[in-house]
Amino acid sequence: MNQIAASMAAAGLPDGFHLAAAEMFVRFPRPVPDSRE
Amino acid sequence: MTEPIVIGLLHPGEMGAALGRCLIGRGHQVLWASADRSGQTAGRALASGLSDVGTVAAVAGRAEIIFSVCPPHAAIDVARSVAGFGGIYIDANAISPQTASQVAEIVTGVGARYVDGGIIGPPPEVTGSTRLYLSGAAAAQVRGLFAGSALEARIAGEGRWSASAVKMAYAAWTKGSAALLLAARELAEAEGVGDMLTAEWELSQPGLGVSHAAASGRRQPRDGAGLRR
Repeated sequence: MNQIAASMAAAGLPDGFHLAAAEMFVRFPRPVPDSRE
Repeated sequence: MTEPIVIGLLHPGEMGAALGRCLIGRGHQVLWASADRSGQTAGRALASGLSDVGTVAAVAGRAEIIFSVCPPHAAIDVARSVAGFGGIYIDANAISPQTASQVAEIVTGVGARYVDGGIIGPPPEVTGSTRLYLSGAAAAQVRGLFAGSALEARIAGEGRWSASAVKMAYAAWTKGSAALLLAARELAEAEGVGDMLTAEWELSQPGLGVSHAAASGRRQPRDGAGLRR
């Protein structure tokens, strides 16, 4: 997620959404990673 | 099909091992390095038919092409570990174009050629499930390695980091929407209205509960659970 946020920032787009998404996954870890992502 | 060559794979997680099986299926020899890897990784590599040469240095010394398939945070360290490698280095990790440029600087600095990569889909087992996007001067050469395999290799575009850009844009939606569903659900749970939200989703947003269950790894509540009229 942090790599996505960095991509957004580098493209001049807001990175806050994906930084918050990263925090959600830290707080609520998924038992099985989704390899489709 | 391209002539069989020796390919290095750093490192054989579930995705990497499946990618390795695709290459082996096309007649290539795929090397990996067991040093500092777990028993689980070793078992996966053995089951996939990968050849253990012990160290990353040994992989770099024998392989013509190296694939890096690892967690995003490890991409830079893996690139640094192949010092002295002079072949084609493909970073197929979920990294930003900016990180990809850092990886490229590291590997080209020691004489390798860099190809940017990004994988979309599950570990490739069946045709049509998974794409490997590629960009860079040697992308077409790398694409040819997978011809006829379960992994569909595609040229992402003209830009050096186009493959990583495709991956990041794709994951921005899949992971972002999963996180948003998770946040909505956790809010409802915190306020004691989780069942009501589930019921409302079933009525007005069919499929959203399934998406949430997939995103969170949770079981879906029974149909209509908590629905009060």
